[in-house]
Amino acid sequence: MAVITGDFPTGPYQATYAVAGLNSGAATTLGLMEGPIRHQQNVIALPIYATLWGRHIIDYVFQGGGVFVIATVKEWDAGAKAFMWQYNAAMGIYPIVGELLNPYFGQIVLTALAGTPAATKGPATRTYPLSGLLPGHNLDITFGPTERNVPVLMCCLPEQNSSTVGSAKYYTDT
Amino acid sequence: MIRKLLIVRKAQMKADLIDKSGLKPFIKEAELPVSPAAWHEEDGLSHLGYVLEMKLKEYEACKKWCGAFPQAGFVTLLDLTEDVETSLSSVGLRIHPSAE
Repeated sequence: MAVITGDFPTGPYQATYAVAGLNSGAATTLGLMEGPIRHQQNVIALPIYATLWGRHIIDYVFQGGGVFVIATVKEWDAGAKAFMWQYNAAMGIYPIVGELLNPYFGQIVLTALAGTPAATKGPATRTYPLSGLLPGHNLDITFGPTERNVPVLMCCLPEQNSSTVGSAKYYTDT
Repeated sequence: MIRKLLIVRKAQMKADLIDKSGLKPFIKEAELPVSPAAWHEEDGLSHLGYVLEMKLKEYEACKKWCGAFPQAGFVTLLDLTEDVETSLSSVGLRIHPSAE
């Protein structure tokens, strides 16, 4: 019997997070997580209309974009806590009002499990150099006789793409 | 001279890829065995790395060659402003321990 095959890049990824800034330290593993890690990416662009074409959008002017990482942590250790809260080792303490957040943001590295199709087909690693808790996202932490699964929505900040001013790079695959 | 670190995912690399790339004259060091920092030593290699030193025109050709592969991350060109280890660690990789 012939097996039906496809180009399926399946396999779990593990994650590390290295906090920058005042709370800096070596990359720590996020340990076991609930479900897969999710990557989201969008484009922001201004639609162009013209009288002759009415309300047809005939083109877009690219203006920017956004990249986000969503993961549900389930362990309660230094790595998971840093991933949830980059601003202070104590989770109840916030930055000073008016501070920029980028110095607190840290590096996420996702690594495919060796021997899986994900490792072969790639990316074997995906690195987001600057990421932190998305402002406005509520950390929802359970306290009770259940698993402490905490969905964390991270937003990523871009770097300059090599020497090209105006071209943003949010992550690197290998 | 522009210094870059070329990383090629081993599983998708044909034996003659580098020969046909035209980049061979610019490779300055021996081929580097590379693996993710999170992998165990026994997991083997994930990538091969090449230190490149190029003039601007050659670099433009190199960028074009790297951009010709549709698989995201199959080939990656990293900045090499510091040493190779720093460049690799910035993307979660390292020289495979067996090569050290």
